[in-house]
Amino acid sequence: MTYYLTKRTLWSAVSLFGLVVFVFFMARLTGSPVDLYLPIDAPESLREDFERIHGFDLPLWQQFVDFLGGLLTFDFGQSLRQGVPALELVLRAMPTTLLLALYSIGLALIVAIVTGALAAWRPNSIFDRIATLLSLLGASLPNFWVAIVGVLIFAVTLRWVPTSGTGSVAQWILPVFVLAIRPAGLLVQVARSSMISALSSAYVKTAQAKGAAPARIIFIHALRNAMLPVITVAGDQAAGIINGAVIVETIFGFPGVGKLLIDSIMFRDFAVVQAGVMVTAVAIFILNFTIDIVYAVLDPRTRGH
Amino acid sequence: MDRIMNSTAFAVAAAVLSFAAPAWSQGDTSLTIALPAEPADIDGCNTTVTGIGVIVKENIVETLTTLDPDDSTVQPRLATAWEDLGDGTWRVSLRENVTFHDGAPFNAEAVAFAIDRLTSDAIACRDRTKIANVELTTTVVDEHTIDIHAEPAQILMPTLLSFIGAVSPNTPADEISRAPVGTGPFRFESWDSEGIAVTRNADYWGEEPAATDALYVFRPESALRAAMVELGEADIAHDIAPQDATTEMDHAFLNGETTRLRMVMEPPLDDLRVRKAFNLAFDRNALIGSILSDRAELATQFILPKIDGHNPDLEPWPYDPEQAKALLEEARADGVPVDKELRLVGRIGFFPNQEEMLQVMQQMWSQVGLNVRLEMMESAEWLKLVNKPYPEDREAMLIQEQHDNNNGDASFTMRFRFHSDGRQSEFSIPEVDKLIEDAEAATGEERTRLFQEANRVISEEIVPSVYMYHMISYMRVSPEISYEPNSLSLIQLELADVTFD
Repeated sequence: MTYYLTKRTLWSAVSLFGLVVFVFFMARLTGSPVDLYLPIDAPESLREDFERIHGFDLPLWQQFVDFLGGLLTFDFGQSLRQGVPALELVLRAMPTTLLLALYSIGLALIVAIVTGALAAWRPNSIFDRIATLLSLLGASLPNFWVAIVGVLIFAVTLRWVPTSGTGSVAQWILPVFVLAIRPAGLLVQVARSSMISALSSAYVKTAQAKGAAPARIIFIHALRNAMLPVITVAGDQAAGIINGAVIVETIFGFPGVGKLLIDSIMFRDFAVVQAGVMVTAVAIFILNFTIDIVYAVLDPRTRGH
Repeated sequence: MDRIMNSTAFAVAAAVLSFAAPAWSQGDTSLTIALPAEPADIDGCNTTVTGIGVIVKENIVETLTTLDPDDSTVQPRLATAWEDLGDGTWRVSLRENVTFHDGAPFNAEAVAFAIDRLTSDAIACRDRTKIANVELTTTVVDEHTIDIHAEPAQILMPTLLSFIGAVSPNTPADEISRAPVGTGPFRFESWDSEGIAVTRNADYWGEEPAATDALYVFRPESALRAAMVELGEADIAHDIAPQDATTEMDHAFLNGETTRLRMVMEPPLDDLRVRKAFNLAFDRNALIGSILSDRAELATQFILPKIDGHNPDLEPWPYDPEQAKALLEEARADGVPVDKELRLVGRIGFFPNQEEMLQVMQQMWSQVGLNVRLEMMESAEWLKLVNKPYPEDREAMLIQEQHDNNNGDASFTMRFRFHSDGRQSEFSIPEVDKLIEDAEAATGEERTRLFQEANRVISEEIVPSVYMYHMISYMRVSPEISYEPNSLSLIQLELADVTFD
């Protein structure tokens, strides 16, 4: 196990390095920040000053060498927009996004496990069919649409929650629900099918024969064994939530990494884009790493490998 | 019994009212303003940039002069009088007893500093665009008088003064600021994840504004911004989409922007008949009141009627598909490749419903046999197509553009777009070059006449564009406050104009 995790860490470091190099060059293929920052009719002298001040007049290889040099000391450079170290901006925004992802995936897991288990108890029952329909709907609705409809229903019509913003607990409700809907939809399906196969296994039959209560059979005997695929998919979905955060944070004015990345891409704030991609990738790596450990805890068979 | 009935009715009414208006309370003089995007900075030398000016200009940092939103005439602000001394030098008298938010006195030295900083090559101030290719030097005459010398001489100096924001002499000279210090009725307070906060300046030289403070928040979704005002979470929702402007709270206003399609004059668009056909086969009125606001106006040139040099005699193109077909037939007979597929390049994010608008235009043109393929581009991609140097193998295409000239004079539009050396000009015609050059050198009625003539020649004889509309924006204003948007409101929203009912 230790050997496996060490190998994995090394490989991840290599791919992270490849990723930032890729992002460095791809970002620069999308055009010069000069055009986006300065008015369309800006005079040539202004364009030259801007390029010189921000180092865009240097040849690309030199910008790359500077960038690599900075990487060694975790220095991603200054943010073009805000004039502060890019990494600092990203790290400041990261907790918001991580909390958002944590609450959303937690909510999705609870909904999925309860609904999936109950649906699997009596496959093709009315409850199962309704749950399947709703979960498919949840899995296929786009975030931005759910967000706007959510605002119209819960903020504008019912007035239960504020439309947007940060600061109060109420302002977290809509973003968390919007982000949870899609993974919840998928996870209900996964939980349901893996519960169906667990419930038809020999040990469940034995438990039934011994006269165990249904709740005990579902939640104690079958669930633990059915959790492995759910955890795997939940891990994937948690990474997906960081993508979803780009849209949801922007719409709701949430100060997370998603909004920061979008703003930085729009303004070609390369340093922040690079730092943001790097930190997000590290977060996803840590997430996968954690899932591997959870796996080992849940399924003793994986520990030796 | 009556008393019990009354108090019950009162309680019910109070409950209903408190439900209907949870966030509004009597005597609340704080404003919340929902804007579509967070600006990169809010420096006092970038106030001509849309998302920055709307927050900073005349609220935090005041300019030396301002332009009237209705007729673009120059009004005093921090400058009280100005006089042309000849040789390119203007003597400007400054307002007395004015202090910056940090306590520094506003005087001739401060103006000299602001101009030095604005024109410095140590920071790339974006307001420099408005005084491009002009060298400004200053001489302090006395505490409240300054001479500003322009090389070459500037006839429009009073207008140029409206681009010069007076920032405090303590502002870093080599760094763009995210905490501007000016003389305005509001002082910058903070900028954090909630938004940008300003509070009323107790020492303001002018009339005290009704609002005590304001918070600018950033929400890209128009429907959400509109909902915020409806729910009392915000007082003003800036720039909302026509489909969200459905209530009496929504104000429509000419926003100063004009749209057109620029034609790249390569075959077949090098042929005047084809360019005319594009104009004749586009039913401009059909979009007004449907995809576009019913308040939008047909454009005959690239500037608004309020701008000096606008030619009021020009007529919009009639919708005449038959004549368009005849012109195309004639061109085809002469060997012009009129059936060639042309790109119609739109830029994402100019205004709501623009893609639908371009699709309708594409449809109209296909009915007369013009073959156009719509492509929507992000701004960085789009920019590569619109600025010189153009690639050598450039092909004919139509490029969607939107332009705002809120500076009172046609010169801010004409050279850049229609003179041979303009960075976005598609043609080189000596007659037009001369008209523009002569107009730039002229003053008064002669200047107006020459720019009007240039616009006539361009619109009627050269036809390099499909002019579309003078555009409308919508602003949702809470019934708790009074604010009437004007043609500058997209770039300059003076909090001092807000009153409470």
